[in-house]
Amino acid sequence: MFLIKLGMRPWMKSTFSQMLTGIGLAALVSIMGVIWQLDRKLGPVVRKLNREQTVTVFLKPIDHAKVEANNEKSFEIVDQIRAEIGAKNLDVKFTSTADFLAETKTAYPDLYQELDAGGAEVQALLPEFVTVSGEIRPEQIEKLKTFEFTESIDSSRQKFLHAAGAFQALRWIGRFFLVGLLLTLASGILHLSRILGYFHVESTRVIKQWGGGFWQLRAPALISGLSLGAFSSLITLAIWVGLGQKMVILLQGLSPFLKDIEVPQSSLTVVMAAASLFVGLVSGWLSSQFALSDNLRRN
Amino acid sequence: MIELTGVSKQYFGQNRVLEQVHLSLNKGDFLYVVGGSGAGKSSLLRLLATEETPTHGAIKLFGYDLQKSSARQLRSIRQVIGYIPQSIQLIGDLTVIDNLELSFKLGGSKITGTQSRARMGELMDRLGLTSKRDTLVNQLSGGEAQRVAVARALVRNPEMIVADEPTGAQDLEYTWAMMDLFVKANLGGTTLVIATHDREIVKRVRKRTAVLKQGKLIVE
Ligand SMILES: Nc1ncnc2c1ncn2[C@@H]1O[C@H](COP(=O)(O)OP(=O)(O)O)[C@@H](O)[C@H]1O
Ligand SMILES: [Mg+2]
Repeated sequence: MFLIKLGMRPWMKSTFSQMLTGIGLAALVSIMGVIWQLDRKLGPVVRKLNREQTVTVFLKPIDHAKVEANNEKSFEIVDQIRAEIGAKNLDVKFTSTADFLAETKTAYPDLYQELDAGGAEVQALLPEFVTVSGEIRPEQIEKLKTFEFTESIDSSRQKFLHAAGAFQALRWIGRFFLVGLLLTLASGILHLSRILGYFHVESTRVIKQWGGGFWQLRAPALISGLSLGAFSSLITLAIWVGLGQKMVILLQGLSPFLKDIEVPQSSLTVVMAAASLFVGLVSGWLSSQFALSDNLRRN
Repeated sequence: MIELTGVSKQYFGQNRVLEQVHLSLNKGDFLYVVGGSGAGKSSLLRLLATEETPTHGAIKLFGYDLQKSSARQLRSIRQVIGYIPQSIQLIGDLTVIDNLELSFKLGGSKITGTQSRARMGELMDRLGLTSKRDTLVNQLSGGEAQRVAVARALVRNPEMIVADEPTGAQDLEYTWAMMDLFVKANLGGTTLVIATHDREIVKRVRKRTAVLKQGKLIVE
């Protein structure tokens, strides 16, 4: 009973700083969690943007003369691309003028009406193309350029490279902050432990003199640390339950590439709360060591 | 039961406070340690209470050699000592009753809760602490705190009481109440070592006396 009283003493003696410390720890742990999650979620996005691309092979307009052979020709081209660039995991798709028009009809009705009104003359100017999507190696792109039906090539990678770079930069900035916050947390824990340790130096000395055992000597400081950790873990819980969804919506708004990021699962929230509790436990243990070391110097 | 052989104590950068001290006590002995201020009484009692270690020499308590005893043995030695330090060393943020309970619980005593409550009540009554039962020790006067320290040592029925000027801040009434409690504990088999410079109690409650002078302990 007196061990619990001793353990809860910091709350009685310096309620405000205890609460502020608890809130501060919760905020620190939560921010670190957000950055960690950001890094984890951006990873696959960057990888996808870097590796996957859609190469559009615009075809020479010769084929338009022989409209009747068009269908056959399209298969030929697709097969040739498949065979010659070794496109196992690639998606190769032929888009004819008619396909293009059909797509335009749904996507851009206004443009379609113009094209439709223009008749065959205008439509003859429309390109036909083959799209190759997936993880494409540079030498495969070179190969695509050499086909006799290729007029020009356009790669989506060039288009999204800046996005991938921006996300990657964001990840590194995040990691940089994470290291800083980790150092802040470590020094925070150390100082907290020292202060809690000083709280218990006198009583630890008495408990030792009167024959206290291993746990009796450490219980007050451990209880101090754990109670702070429990308080801080409640705050962390509140932060994640209350703001988790908002954060995700903000993140999703950052770029269309991020719209698939999910709301944190409850398991993640629990992990964050547990992390706060753990920080408290570590502080408690360290402070019990500090409280003891001042005594141990004597014998 | 208690054996000091060739014990010396020297604090860092100072002359020796204790010089080749020899002392042997049996269970149930009662010894006064007298000597002028700064003679080294507290230093000797701190060694007996395991609060400090000697610079040279060996201390044997209850059959254990202090230098060679493990943490566990040291703990069991401390569990059977009732120490009344000159600097009191109570836990200021706990109430009087909590401080007494601490001594009782850490002592690993086999006495039941009811018996201990009766004992605590009796001691507080004798030492005029009943009305202060739930007062924080921080809020007590020096004399009251000293009486709590005495009650704390007695409540666990220790094998040995090491009392460093326990009557230092007391008026006559409590001085004799304390001495009465000490004598009773001694009759119950508790070994007593009391450091004092109060000639009156040494004269009135006649027991073996050891004089500390220039680091030497002379047992009369
Ligand atoms: N912790 C300490 N560090 C250094 N010197 C000390 C310490 N404790 C006591 N002394 C010195 O040892 C001498 C004896 O002190 P003490 O044992 O308290 O004597 P007494 O209790 O008889 O008055 C004194 O000169 C004192 O200054
Ligand atoms: Mg003294």
